[in-house]
Amino acid sequence: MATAIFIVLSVISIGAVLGMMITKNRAYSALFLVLSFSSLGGLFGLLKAPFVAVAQIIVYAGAIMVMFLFASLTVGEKKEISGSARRRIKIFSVILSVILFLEIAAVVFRIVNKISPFDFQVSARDMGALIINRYLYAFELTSVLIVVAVVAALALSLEQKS
Amino acid sequence: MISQSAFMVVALILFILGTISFFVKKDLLCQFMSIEVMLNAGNLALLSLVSAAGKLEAAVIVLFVILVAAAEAVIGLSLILLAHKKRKTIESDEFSQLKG
Repeated sequence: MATAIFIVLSVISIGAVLGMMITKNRAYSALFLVLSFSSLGGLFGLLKAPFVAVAQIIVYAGAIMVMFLFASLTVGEKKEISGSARRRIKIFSVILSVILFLEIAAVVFRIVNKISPFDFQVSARDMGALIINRYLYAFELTSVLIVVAVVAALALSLEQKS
Repeated sequence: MISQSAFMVVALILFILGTISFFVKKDLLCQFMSIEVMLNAGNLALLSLVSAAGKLEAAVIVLFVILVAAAEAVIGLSLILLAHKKRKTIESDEFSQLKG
């Protein structure tokens, strides 16, 4: 059962990223990404981390992708540019990515045999205790970071009026 | 029980797709989305690797990564919107110089 869920979620996730690459419309790209990140949240759940799965769906599929949709609607449609130079860049970048794929795959397939299966549940209560105890400093820093980010975004968008 | 290597392979495929998409797509918004895909692939790899060792820390670190990605998305999108306001385009080929 878990294997079937894993296969379905992986196929949806990878297929949605492929759809994001192929489609020309930015809004469709954002929606494909929502699908991909939601199924990725399911994969996190399969890894016995339910809190991270829910956070993934709420923060990524909910908040971040809504911002992307808003930005893509604000920016509007793009004009098509085509040329032989662009095609050359595309081919070159795909070759580079394939090389990167081979390198990472070599590393992954070297370590996969050493990974043992696990039976372990990450409960929200244990995670909360860990955040409050050991990672309190990092947690507070993250909140400061988010405040700084919001203030910076406001400053960037207000700059034009002054 | 699914082996962790399967999760690693999915993370690998997602990361490479994000890389290809980053190079192939030519507007800032789609490239930013590709970066998010790569970030998520990294999260998946981290969670699958470290959870195999029975450590709780991976989930906390992934949570922090998600939060930092949210902050990054705020800044990045406001920069993209600002660039669009100044140049009327977000094609990354158009931004060959930093002068505004």
